[in-house]
Amino acid sequence: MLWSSDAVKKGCNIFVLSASYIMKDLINEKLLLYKVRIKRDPEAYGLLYDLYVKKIYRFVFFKISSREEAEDLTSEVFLKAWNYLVENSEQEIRSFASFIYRIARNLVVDFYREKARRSSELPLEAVIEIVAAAGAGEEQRLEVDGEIDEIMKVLKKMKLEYQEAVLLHYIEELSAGEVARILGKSQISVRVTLHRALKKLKELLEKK
Amino acid sequence: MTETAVMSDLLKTQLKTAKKQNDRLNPDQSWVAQNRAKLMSQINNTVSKDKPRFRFDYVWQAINIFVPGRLAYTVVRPMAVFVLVGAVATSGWIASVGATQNCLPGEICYGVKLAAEKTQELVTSVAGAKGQQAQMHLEFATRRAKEVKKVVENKAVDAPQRAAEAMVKLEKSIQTANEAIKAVVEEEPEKIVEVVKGMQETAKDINQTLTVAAEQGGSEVDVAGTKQAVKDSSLDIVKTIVQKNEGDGKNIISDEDAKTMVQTQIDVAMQDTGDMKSRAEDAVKVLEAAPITSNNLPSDVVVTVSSTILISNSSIQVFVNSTTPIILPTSTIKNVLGDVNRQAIAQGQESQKTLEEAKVLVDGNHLLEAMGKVKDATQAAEEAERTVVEVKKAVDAVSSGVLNSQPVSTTTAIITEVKK
Repeated sequence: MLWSSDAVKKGCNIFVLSASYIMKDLINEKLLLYKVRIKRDPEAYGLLYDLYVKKIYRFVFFKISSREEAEDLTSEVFLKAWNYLVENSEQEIRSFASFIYRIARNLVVDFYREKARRSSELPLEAVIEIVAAAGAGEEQRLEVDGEIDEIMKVLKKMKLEYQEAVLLHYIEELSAGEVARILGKSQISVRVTLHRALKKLKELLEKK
Repeated sequence: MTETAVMSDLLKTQLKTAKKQNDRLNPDQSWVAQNRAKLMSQINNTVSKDKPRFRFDYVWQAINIFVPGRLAYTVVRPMAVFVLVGAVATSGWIASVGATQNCLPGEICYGVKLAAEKTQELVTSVAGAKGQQAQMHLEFATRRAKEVKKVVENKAVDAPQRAAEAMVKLEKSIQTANEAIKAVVEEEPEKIVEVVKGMQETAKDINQTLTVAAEQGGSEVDVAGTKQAVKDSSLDIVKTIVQKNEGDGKNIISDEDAKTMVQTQIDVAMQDTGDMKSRAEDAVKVLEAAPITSNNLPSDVVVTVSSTILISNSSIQVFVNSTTPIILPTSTIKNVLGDVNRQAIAQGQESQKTLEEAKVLVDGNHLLEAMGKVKDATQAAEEAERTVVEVKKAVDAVSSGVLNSQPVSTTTAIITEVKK
């Protein structure tokens, strides 16, 4: 197949344009983070909230499957993040995304730990299992409808490690590097997990 | 393209669009807006009216906005440090030191602060005044002590490591100051009284600062070694001066000044011993007040003895390398800790007695002998202090009921540690 110079030029333009948009967003986000940390600017934090509230809510809701509890936890995530940012302005934060997802992840674990403690004293392994299984029996709450819902239903039945990797990388479109920072793993390990998770997801969907 | 690859791509696309197509995954728009308003009101209440002070790491954070992550850390950061060091070396001291004075170990600007001090050190050494050099190193040591306190106050996750880093530097500064003061004795004896006075005050300040840091930082921040190094240095200098004054019959300072120096060492040691005793007495009171039977403190605690430990009640029992769990009544543990603590108090009283003897020797102009007594008393008090710190950890565990919920090995460690 022959490539016309116009097609190449158009392709290059699209690439440059999307790269410039990504860079612009990234710089904007870092600028907002700088204003929050150095100037303690609530308005800048409000804009970061606008950028991340849906993502964090989805992340929490996916793990908890209760709208009210997901709303409460999401609010807590943002308040906790603000307090940390202004109280520890000397600590380096390379990416706001990985920082806020890590807080959300920890709060979800705390949530289940507290839940487990109330019912009975459970070891951490059991808590992790509960988190992984959360919503697996409650998927009806997601109002199953169509192929996407079917995928989400199957995804919820997979192990926690796979769920998190797929959710963050494929659904939330975070880079493998950011996923690695959030999950506290190496990039290579995240790529391997993603590959296996996708394979497993396909297998499960084919069985349906 | 294979069928599998096509399916993978399709699945990826479906996952990508999931958040847009499935409304149930997304938050309610009205909640998003209400929560934003609530959040803004909450965080506005926490914003202080004071403008944050400028720090060098803010420059780094600003650079980081426009430079991609990896490039920033591998290329720009080292360059930034280099440029900042250069700026500090070539610009006025007031502006540069002022900007870095709040930097703490573990922060990017801390290297700049130390580099600024190095440059200051170089300039002072070229000027050649030993007294000035000694004072400068004492000032650096005071800064390190304050850094230890600040690092602990900030409660960073790696606070113990950062505090340890500052303490290593503190000890180095004290050692350098010690050498510079000894040089003052030889080269500028007329300045030694003033320099030693500054050193004794600095040692006192550093010890107080480190004590506060240790109280705030808990068991993970170990300041005992550094405090001892500071005290030893001070004792060593005064002893050197007294020796020189008495040795060749040619006084470098007046008898009155020498007496005052020794007297100050005695007063400081007396104060430290008194403080140590008070802490030990407080720990005994806390221990005695801890309920033996309550919900969070059971009457018995299971302890596995993995090494030789001494359990003292009314008499002393020895368990040698027992691998069988032993059930110790909590009252026994309380008695053990109480006994060890009382031994520390007794040791403190002994030190105070020795210091009183040193005072008498000073009155009789036997300064060298008095210094020997001060050294003995300080060492004994220091040993007692270490015991009190260990006992305090265990007392806190017993009184808060943590002892019961801690792993058995930790419980054993506490008791073993206490007996050392």
